[in-house]
Amino acid sequence: MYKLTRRDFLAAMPLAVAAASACRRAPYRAEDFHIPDRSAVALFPAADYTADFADVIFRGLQMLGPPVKGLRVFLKPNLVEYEAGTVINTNALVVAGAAAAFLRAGAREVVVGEGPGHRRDIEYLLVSTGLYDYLKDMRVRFVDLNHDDVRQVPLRSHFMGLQELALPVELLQSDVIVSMPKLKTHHWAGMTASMKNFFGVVPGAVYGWPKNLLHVKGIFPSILDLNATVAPHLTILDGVVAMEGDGPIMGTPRQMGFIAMGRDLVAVDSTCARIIGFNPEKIPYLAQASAFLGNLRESRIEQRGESPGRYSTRFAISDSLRAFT
Amino acid sequence: MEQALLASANASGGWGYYAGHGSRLEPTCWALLALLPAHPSLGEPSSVHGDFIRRSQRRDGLFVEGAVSKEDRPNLAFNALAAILLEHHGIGIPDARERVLSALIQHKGMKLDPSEINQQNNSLQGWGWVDDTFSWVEPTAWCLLALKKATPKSAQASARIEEAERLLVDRCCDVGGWNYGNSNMLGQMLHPFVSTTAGGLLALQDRRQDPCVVRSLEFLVKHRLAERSAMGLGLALIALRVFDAPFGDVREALLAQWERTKFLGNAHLTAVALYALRDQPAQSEALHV
Repeated sequence: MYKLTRRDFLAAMPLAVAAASACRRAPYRAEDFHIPDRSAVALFPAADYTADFADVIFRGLQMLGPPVKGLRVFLKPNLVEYEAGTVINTNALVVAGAAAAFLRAGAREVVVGEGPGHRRDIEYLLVSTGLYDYLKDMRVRFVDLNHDDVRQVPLRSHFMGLQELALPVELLQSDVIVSMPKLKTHHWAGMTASMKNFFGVVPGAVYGWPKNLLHVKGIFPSILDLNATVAPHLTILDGVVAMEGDGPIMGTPRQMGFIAMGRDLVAVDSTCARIIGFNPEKIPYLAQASAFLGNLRESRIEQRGESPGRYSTRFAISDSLRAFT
Repeated sequence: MEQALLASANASGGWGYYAGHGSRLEPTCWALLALLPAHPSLGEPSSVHGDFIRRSQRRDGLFVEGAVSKEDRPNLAFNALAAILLEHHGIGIPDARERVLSALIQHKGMKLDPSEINQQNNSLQGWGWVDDTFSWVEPTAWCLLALKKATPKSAQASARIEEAERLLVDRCCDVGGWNYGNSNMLGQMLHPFVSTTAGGLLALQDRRQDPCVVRSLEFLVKHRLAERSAMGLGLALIALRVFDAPFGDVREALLAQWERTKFLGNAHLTAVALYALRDQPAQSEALHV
């Protein structure tokens, strides 16, 4: 019996996606999506977690928008697992800073929500990461997306072959949805950043853990359908200390020193991919997303704040991830 | 804690995961397991709670609450919990327990070919969280416990029990305890967790001499306070009590944790904590084999 190895699997993915897109009609209505001529991506220096993130992010909001006055803002950090000394999760100080910045910008309410893909025990994650204390002090509500009430939502693209998905009501009722990922390598997807972060909105109590439906349907199709349907308005990426090596859980911390912000998640993730030494055109979900969700090419990305060159490096990666470089 | 849980029941008879949310199967089962010892009238056939359970059972025997019925993905772990509730309390619903157990026996996690990404026996079939997914530790543990508690046992049930036990032993971490699904991945040994380990131990409580169970109990005793949450402390307390291991400090920590659980509005874990804190053996024997 032939056994598919991880290397075979990863090497075949970009080819398979390209072949699929060439052979069949796009699984979405092109008129439902609009890609701007140019997308702004801003990089702000933050050497470590003592930075004033409320100030950094407030400046980013003034520079990039979107308008939030009187609106309900939903912050979606990446909380996966807690282990002391690791950088698995979006840092709690960045999340707290973002909440303060949005309130300062006039948001009617800020809600933080996450549905971890492995760990059901969100109370443990909130307490151990320190986020619980910040949210309690700020009187910011937390929503457990794995166990929230759900509503069936028609998907706006159909890469997974599904017509609809049950999604958390608290997310759907928000006016402004903000991805707040940690920049990490990912042993299946190449990298995880703003777009992959939306795996966390899929309710585990409905679909099981570790969001098995998404893995069975394929990671890349799932990322595309979730982003097309949730249609996030902004991303604020924690690139202060990122993760290289065997991410998204077992990798090692890598000091990077920036916060990235942008309203086009494809553009922000593509910029970050280049910064860490990946070729975004070889990351299948970014390549596919550039056809209908956002800008991937450097020529269509307007860099603001710090130059990406200031942070440019090559992350340590396993051999099997070289397919993405 | 008890008053908060009673107050968070929905008029429909069920409990949501969080106060004010729609009724769901898992928190309703935990709430009834926690409350029925002190409030037996909640489980009378005419009660709205029994009615919620009754209305959630499909013709195939599996429970799917109305709020998620359009998805047609019964959560097998939560169905096992419902079977345990019905085994212990009945709630005046004829055949409900037999029907859900028969259905659980028919559902299996996916069987996979051998893989190079981890070292384990992928041909073993326990239960996934939902159908068409790979067997995972938590749903396998809950379904195994539900089948073990059921009497009498069919030959089919006994075969599923035997294979599920082999699966849990296969997925046991080398230091004891369980991660979520695998004990190793991409050449690295994975860490066990408290809540998954407590579930695995409950499922294997009748195999106390098995080296995997011995190692896992050692892990749980050592790390019993490591996961500060109602789920981690509550499940640890339940498992330690079943194994007659000391649990006094876990009990104190769980009581202290209540303020946080309450702040988050978590009715589900309030129920888990309340069940765990029941001191009388007769009040906490639903998860004993």
